[in-house]
Amino acid sequence: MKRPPLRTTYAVWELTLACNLGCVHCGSRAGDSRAAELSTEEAFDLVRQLADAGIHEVTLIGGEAYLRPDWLTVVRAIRKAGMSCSLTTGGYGISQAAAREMRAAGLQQVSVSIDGRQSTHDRLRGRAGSWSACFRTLRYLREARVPVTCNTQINRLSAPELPLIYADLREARCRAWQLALTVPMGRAADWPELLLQPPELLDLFPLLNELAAWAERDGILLYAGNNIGYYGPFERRIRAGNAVWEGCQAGINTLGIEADGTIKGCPSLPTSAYSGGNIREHSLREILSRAPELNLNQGQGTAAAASHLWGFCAKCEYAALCRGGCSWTAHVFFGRRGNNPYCHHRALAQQRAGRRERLVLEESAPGTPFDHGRFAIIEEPTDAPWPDGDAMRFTADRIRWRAPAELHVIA
Amino acid sequence: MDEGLPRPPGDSDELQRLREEALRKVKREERVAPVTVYGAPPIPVYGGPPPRRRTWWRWLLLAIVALAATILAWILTHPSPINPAPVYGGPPPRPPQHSAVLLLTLRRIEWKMRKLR
Repeated sequence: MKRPPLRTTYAVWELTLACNLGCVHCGSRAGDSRAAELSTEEAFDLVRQLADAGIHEVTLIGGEAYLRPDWLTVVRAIRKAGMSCSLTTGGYGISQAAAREMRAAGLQQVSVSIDGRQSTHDRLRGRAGSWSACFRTLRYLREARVPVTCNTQINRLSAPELPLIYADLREARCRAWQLALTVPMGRAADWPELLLQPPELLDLFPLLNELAAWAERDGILLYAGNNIGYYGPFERRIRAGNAVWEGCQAGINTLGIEADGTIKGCPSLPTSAYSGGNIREHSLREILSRAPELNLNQGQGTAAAASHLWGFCAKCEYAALCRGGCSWTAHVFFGRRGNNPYCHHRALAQQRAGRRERLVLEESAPGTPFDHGRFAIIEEPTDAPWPDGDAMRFTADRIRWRAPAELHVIA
Repeated sequence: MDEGLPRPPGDSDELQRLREEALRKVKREERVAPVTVYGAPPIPVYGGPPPRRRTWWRWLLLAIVALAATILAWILTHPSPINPAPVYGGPPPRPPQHSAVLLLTLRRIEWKMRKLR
């Protein structure tokens, strides 16, 4: 399958923190809007600055971006400034008319989040009927000729259902499917049982490989998110562009913007440690040039770029290029980047050595947007008994390859 | 320093070398690991192949192509009236059929020949 060219520069903009869903894994604990979100004029000014800084594509997120009344005028401004514009949404409450307005405003792609079959999705998204709403939204968007893609969070509830989710998305004629691992940020930090343990990656990655083969056959672009990897035997199959992971790109080609104008190198990074400043106080170019938080990945290819690594990652054969995988993932587990427990190569290496790693919550998250707790790594022999009471553990025999009698009719 | 994105790497040559080295190692890992673990023929381990995609349009396309091929084959192989194929065990073949213009021309030539005699 011919893959589309990868984007070069990219900004993810949380337009508002207001949300109509209550997802149990929401990293930003979205629900109410932020106290001082950017005004329409400030948003227009930021659009101009983004284009000036070399951004080519803007993805609007939330909360739920479309809950902001002026959001389509922001879409128009982005398009007028010469940038591509897409939306990532929970897909709840989008009408046929809204889908047509999105098309008319110049929105070029919508990614709808789908995290399981009906019961699992509704449970994770915190609202009954949200799964049906997603597929209705996909239909409305298709009818309005807006290209649709989907994204899925992988955790212990959704992982066994991935083959069934794939079948649903294919039926809904999705063009691409982006996958990301759920990590302990925001509300997900309050429910550690939901998270995959590192040895469970040994059963997950062959499944991802299988799904990638199906997607390739069906002409669907399977796109592994930045916290899925790294360098194992399935790396080239699951990473878009048939490439290998080249390290965290926060601040290199990616920006994250919070609804109140806070600028980060990546939208997922915790605000407290990675905020480079606010657009109300400094221009974007000033923040990019001066803020160390925006320069955390400078110097790719030099020894200095990997100097922050610690633990397993510091000694890894891929260290210089990988630089510890996804900075966000490592940071929300341990409070600092540079040692990433969610790594297939690492899990395989540990298995070969007769070892495995388990993550244990030591300190709970305080309960603010983009917050996190603190975990400890327990290293133990592969054949050590698994802790009692861990009923949600993901193993290959839990994978649901076919829906039994619950075949649904997509709305 | 240019404050715009994307930022250039610290050492482009070294980054390229690291990329190529990682690719070599990944290919090595691919060789030692099985390509497919789940659902591989002939004996599925954990499940089977995914349900098939709707293929009605593929069948329609195939039917159109088959119909076109049949018509083309008929045109190429059907005996022309001028050179009828021999028929064994049936009625005698029809004489060659000429066009009306050709028949008129032949008649006129014949008539002129008679007149000349």
